[in-house]
Amino acid sequence: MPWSVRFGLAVIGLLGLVAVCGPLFPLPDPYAQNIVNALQLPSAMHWLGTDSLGRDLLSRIVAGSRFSLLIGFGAVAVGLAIGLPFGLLAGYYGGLVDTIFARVIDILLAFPGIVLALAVVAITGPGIGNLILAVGLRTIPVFARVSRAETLALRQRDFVEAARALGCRPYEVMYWHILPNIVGPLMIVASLQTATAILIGATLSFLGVGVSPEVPEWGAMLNAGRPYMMGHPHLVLVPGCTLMIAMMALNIMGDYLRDRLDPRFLINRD
Amino acid sequence: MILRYISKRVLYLIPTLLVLSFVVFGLVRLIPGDPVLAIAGPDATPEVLEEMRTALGLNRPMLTQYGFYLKGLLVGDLGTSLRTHQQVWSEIGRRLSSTLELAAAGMALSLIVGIGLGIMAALRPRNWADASTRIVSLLGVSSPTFWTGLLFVLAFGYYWRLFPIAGSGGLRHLVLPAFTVSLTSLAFITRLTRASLIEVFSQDYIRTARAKGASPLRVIVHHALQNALIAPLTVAGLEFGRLVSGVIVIETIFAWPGIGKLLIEAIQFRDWPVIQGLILAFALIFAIVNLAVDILYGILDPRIRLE
Repeated sequence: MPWSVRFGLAVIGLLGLVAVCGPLFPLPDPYAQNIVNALQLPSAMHWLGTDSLGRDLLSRIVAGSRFSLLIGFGAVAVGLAIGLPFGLLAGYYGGLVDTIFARVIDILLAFPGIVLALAVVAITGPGIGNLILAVGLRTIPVFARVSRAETLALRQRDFVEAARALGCRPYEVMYWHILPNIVGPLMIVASLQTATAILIGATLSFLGVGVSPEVPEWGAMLNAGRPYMMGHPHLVLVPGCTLMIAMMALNIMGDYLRDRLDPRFLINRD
Repeated sequence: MILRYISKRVLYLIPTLLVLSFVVFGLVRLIPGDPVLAIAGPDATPEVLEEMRTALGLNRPMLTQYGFYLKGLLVGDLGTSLRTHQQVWSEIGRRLSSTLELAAAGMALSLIVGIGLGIMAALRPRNWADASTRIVSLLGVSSPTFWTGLLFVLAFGYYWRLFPIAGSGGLRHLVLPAFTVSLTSLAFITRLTRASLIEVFSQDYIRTARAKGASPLRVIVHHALQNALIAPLTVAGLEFGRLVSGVIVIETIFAWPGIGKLLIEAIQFRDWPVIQGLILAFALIFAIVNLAVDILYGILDPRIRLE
């Protein structure tokens, strides 16, 4: 395993560990404000310094990992839950179902990048649930397309024909035969989409329309630190670097999985 | 035959846009809360509210409202901003050129520099230039746009005051925002060009060309590039979409007066007509660019036209 992948794995492992066990660490409360101590540089008492309201930055970063992973996995879960069956059905039945599929996907994909997510949070308002929904909406077409393409390819295969000849009903064929075989490519796409989802969640929070203000999400922290960034760059450097490293790790892992498991996905980064 | 291809694609655009306008319209109507209440304020009497509703046409059935909206769209009337009470189309129009300027500059940068770096990296695989390009491009792909933007603001606006970091008004103002917005796409295009070119280099016809005595330059430019560039150019359309969404963030960081910044402000003020109009505008821009890329792709690669 190349060193870059070991690095990626280590970072993700650390992230997961921190996210799950965060509250168990002996760190100050990430929400506890202490204006007297505001805007301090890293010191013995606050290893990464404090933010504009005196909250310990390290514990906020640790707490933020939970939110980032929540957004990432949540959005991917939404995408899989809706996109996977949709694409599966479209690929299996073809015809009218497929045509409807293509139209709906076209509509979802008609909006560039974060515009769709922005539209959703504009309507539903801020909050982490709405954020997951908004980002998830963007991942649905990705999963739908992949599962449709894979299903189409598998439908012609002999074992599917055999299953149908033996009298398997359509949903049985889909569930027992097609689904287990498309899991591989879907996992690759899922890992890359998690990175994208976290990024979009952070972007929306940075713009102020994602999570609610006091939530220690990394993007929101960047936004909060921005007015003070000139004199206190650590407010911006710390969450930013954390985000970047997490994204790098996820991208490395996703690329590695893709190269190892399926060389077909050369262009599929979206 | 090219004309048929183009006209088919253009015709396909119209129903998509229609459905889009309906979706956007419906979405905005889904907002919880009474927009009239939001405009008039909590102290307004029921009569005033009812009057406003009639004036804005909000008490008609939704389909009728949509009909009016559609009619308005056809003449270019997108409604009035709830915030500034100006026409939506004029608000958008004033800022649209700034955004397009930024997006075009970013796209040009990412294509030119990206393809250039990709070529350079492909020509010397496995040495330090290639490795460092790959690391830098990994960083570029993973770094959030707003993060690099803030870094640039810190670096060039504060520590070394080389470039202005706010507002538009000249080439110097364009440098930082355009570079920031191009970074992710640049990294991606570099990787893609490199991979694509390496694959093309291993093909037989390249070997034949070299065996026939063609100079390395001619081999690269005339034979290899044409085919290797198909992949990056295809992606360019997708990347433009990503660029447009990146522009939204960049405009906020660098105070660039474009439609991205307008969108964020509109969302924060819940200025529904502007939000509606802007979403349509973004979708339209995206659709047009994709159409252009499709047409270009059809011209470059004759195999596509036969579909």
